[in-house]
Amino acid sequence: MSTLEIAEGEEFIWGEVWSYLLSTLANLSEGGKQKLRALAMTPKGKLCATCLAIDLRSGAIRTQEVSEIFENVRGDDVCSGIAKALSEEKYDNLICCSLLESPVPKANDAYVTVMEIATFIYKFVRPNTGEGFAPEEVKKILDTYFDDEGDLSALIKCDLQPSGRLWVLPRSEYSDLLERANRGKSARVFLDALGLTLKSGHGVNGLPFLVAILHPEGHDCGAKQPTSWDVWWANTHIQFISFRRVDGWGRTFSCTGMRYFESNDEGMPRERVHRDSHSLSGFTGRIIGGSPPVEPVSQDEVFRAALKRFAKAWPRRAEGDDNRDDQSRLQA
Amino acid sequence: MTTNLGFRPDFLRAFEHFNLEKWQRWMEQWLLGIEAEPRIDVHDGNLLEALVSLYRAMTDSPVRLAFADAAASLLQTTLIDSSSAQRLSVMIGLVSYARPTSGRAAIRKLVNMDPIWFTGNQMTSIHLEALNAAGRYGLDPWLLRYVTKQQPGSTLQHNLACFRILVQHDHAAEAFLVLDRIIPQVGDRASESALRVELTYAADFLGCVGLLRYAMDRQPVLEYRESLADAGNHFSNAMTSALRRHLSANDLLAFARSYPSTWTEALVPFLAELHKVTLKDGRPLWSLEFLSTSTPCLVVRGAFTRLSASDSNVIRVLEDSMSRSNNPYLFDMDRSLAEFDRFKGQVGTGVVK
Repeated sequence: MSTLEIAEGEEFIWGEVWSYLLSTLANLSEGGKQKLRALAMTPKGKLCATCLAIDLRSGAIRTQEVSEIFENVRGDDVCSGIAKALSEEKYDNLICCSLLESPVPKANDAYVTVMEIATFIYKFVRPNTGEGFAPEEVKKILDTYFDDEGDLSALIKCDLQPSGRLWVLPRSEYSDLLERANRGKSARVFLDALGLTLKSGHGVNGLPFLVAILHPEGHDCGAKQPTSWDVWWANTHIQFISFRRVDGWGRTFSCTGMRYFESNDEGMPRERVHRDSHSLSGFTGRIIGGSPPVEPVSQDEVFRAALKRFAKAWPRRAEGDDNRDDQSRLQA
Repeated sequence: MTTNLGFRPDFLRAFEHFNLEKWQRWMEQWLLGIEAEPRIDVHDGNLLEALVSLYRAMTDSPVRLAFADAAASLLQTTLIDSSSAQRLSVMIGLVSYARPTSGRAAIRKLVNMDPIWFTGNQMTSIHLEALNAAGRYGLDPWLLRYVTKQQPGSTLQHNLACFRILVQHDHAAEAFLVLDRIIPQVGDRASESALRVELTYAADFLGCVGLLRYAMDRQPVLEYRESLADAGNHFSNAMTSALRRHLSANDLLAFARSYPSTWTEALVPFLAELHKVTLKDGRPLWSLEFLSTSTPCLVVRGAFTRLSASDSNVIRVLEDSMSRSNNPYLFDMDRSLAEFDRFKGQVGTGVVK
């Protein structure tokens, strides 16, 4: 298939996204429609529109919610406007609230949260001890919380603000990535696979330094498949793509676009998001390590990948239809 | 090209002409949620992280100093009230990181305020953040007085922060006084873990010997006062867990030297207890075994599995020290060395007869 054909195909799918949004959100006021149209001006805006279309089509979010947000967007930058609108208290119920079913993972496949050490300090250590992320404080925190036992029980308070949410992946995929990271002696594989576009961090020389929080088996934090509402659209670069209704998990989009799990749909790690401000009693901390930042693919490329995901996102009619839909769409 | 901290040098040049007032205005706007120019990338809405990154990316210059001073002056003028909690938290975090001279007074004012102003979840954290920031400015007489004096209604977290500040500044004696008021507050697993974290840090920073001595001194009190039995157990768990990571043969030697006359009565049972609770996965990190025979003979076999063979010298000195002590038992050096050979690779031995 030539590059031109791919481009044409994408143009076609984008047309579908657009007409789908216009027909679904037909009740928008003129102001709301203007905001929606403004999304089509930038790659990030187009990505946002495509993610919304995937979520709407999959039944993960409601049309009414989307309309309401668009009516409430202020300012010229629609993506930032969406982020600001979503941070209002009245839309609190949209965070981590996918309508898709997300069953609790099996006992041997508990959740794991991977984050930069500063985020860990900000969300978990600071509310409990008041400590910050000066280099000597970071060292102390790594030494005392992330020893062989990694006992995090001392951290009983948690402050998820300002984003109000945490992302998790299943233990099996964390272990797989960890093995690769150990082989390569670098945390790069985590930054890439999880789509962490951190430019800097609080490791040596200001490089990102990752740690993992292992949830106890059977712990239910109410994590859901992520939707467009779980993204901070004000970020300069967005490395997120919504995912259709399959198994109650989203799929990350790696920074480089590389596939990690061939057996897995999309080849990307599974992900969920939750807003449970739980204590870390019974949780275990593990150091993953540091790595130079991973340069993400352009926003255009993320948008193109989103179009491919949209093409596969059809409303489910009956059990097993997803696969048939996929195949027929791909053939088309 | 970007700097290590993800900023392009030409972007940082946009701030070159910024003085105190410009920084104040610029920060004020961001605190109000207005994206002032030059715009920074506030990842996931975390303003503190974005401001700290910007500060770190700037080279040491008047512009950077002005940035830190602006943060201090904004902190100074922020209303201390739950309605400003988010803003206070960002400003304290920034001042704590950059430590401008002008920020000390603002931080001290916050620390010194009556705790009644810091009720509610978020405000309690803010007082802790301010106390921690005060510690980062150094331990002057004012702060030393503040952290050693029992504050009315002070929480466990508050006292632990005071303990941490004293440890950081190598004030072991005062730190142990604060520890005295911490122990009765440790009543559950979570607070035991919080204490363990600080004791682990203290063991690393101050060394284990001081902590061992403290534990030895307090043990009788904790055992005999019924009201402290629970707290004593939690303290004991936290202490052994902290020591597990840092205790070395040198520490044991120094410790044994401190107690030549009470070796058998107090030290040995204490170490035996320590050994018992520091077993990990069935294997001791270090251990002492006690074998009584029909004759009044006590065999102390120190199995320092985490130590290398070169530590045998330390163990010999330890044995030597014990043999010279006014101990009713004699020290059998030959037998001890034979024992040591037998446990070679993982064991050092001492036999007290």
